[in-house]
Amino acid sequence: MIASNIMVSNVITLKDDDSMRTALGHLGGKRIRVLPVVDEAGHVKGVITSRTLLRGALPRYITSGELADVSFAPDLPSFSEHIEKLSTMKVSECASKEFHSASPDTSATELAALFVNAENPAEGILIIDSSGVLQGIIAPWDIFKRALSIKETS
Amino acid sequence: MTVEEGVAHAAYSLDFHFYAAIAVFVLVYAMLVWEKVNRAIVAMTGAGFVVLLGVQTQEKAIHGIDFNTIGLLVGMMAIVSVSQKTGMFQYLAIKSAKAVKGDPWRMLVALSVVTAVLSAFLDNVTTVLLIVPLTLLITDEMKLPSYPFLVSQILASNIGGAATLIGDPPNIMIGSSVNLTFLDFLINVAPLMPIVFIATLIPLKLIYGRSLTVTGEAKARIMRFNEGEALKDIPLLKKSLLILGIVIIGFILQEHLHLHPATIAMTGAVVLMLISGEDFDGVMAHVEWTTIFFFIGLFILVHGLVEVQLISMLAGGMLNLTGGDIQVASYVILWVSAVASALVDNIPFVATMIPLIQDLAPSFGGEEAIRPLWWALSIGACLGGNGSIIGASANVIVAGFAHRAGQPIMFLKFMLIAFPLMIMSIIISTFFMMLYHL
Repeated sequence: MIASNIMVSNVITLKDDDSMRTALGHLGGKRIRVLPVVDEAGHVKGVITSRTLLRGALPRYITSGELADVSFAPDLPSFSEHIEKLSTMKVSECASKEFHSASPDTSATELAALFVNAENPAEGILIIDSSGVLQGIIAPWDIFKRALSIKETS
Repeated sequence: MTVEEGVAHAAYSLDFHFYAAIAVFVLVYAMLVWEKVNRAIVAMTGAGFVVLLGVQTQEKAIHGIDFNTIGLLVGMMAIVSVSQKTGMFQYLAIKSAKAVKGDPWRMLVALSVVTAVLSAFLDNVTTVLLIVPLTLLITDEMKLPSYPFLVSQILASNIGGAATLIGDPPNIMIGSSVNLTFLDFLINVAPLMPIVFIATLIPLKLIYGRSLTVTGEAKARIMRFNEGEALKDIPLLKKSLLILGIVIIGFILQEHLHLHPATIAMTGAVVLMLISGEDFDGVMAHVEWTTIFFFIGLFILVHGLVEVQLISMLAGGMLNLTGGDIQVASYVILWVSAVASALVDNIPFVATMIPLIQDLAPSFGGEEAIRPLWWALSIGACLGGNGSIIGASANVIVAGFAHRAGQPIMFLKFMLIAFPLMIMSIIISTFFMMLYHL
């Protein structure tokens, strides 16, 4: 079992100047966790996930760990303001450059280790070939699906 | 080897060691100003070369390290590492902001007071790491500009740190090498700091006062902060407060107990770990090892300069310059230390000045007579740190936060306000020295 036969290859991708309204529409769908942002040639420039969007809405002193606990404070006005104006923004303004990737010949064990041990929990691993082009995407469930030959129940 | 050859060889090696020690020291200083390499690596490399080049043996180099300073720093950092987990410092800051009912200017003053008081007892860097993120959260909640708050906290941390033996590294070093106690600093330096603090706040009020306005709704937001939630582990909090209290009482009674500060701080730290069951490695991971090894490297380097007699030569020059007048010498040290500390790290500066001033003692009539010189060095080096954004480590940390929060503190813009305020504080200090010490 290697990445290329586990991955889902018909990936929904975004372009830099797409509107966030489009991105949010995809994230609202059922199975989409990670939206890769690619250029014309298919090279990955970043990703959009619910988690990166939340991170973007929080101030840096909270996300960098210096003030990880804010249990004592009321809701931050800037947080909801940021979330509210998301749909008027461009994908390039919200994409995160931090994502997990692996090559198509990565073993299932290594993929599983990436999911479990990654410092930031991986919601999906992008499979990128040696020329930097996006080939597919793997979510944790895909490993089970392939190993147990489980058919999608739609 | 004939006798002549032997003498010539000795003279050569003396000369070589003299210039080697100076060359290494100058290179280290240049690297520190350049700020591209971690300062502990720079200082320790210099220390290594001083021994490798034969300026001093390893044995002498180790003798040059002031382990009392090292022990005090590590001990206090370990105690803070445990006690900050309890959230007590956040609690204190929120409580103070709420106490003034969310009035922005008063809140700026309250948070600055907390910063100053904490800085007097904790490391300045630790203090700002605790208070600044919370300040940013408060200003975000109230939609206030964070800039005035951060600038005043930088100034407050250096002023507060100057007040006690344990507040700022220069004081720890001076106190340790000259056997000046916690109480000595409390009596001789601390009374100056509230005056400097208030004098600093007045211009800040004139500059920023009008930009600090909030709506009633914003004021209500700060009152909705629940400081009780910040307190995490009440049993640990009690143990931390107990040990902090005993350690500070220990410092105050240091002279009667015949104990050095390192013993008090280190014992406090390990006893706190013993009674709280905190993990040793976890606690020690929070000690700022860069600072500790920076100190070790500098002590070895400066000891090299002492060994080759450079320090006594400089002391001789200083003596000639001041005409052997203790008053002139005090003012010169105060002002030179202040300006130097605004531009370069005050730790290497003070490390160099300490043996120099010790060398002056006999000419001025002994240890007691040169006391004012130590106070001048302490006040100048600590308050000088306010002169620029690179004047002290805490300043640099705050600038980093400000940058990430999108309200960067620019070098010149900061200096335009901070340098005159620093000069004002040194003028006040000059009068203080005049009335109190000279």
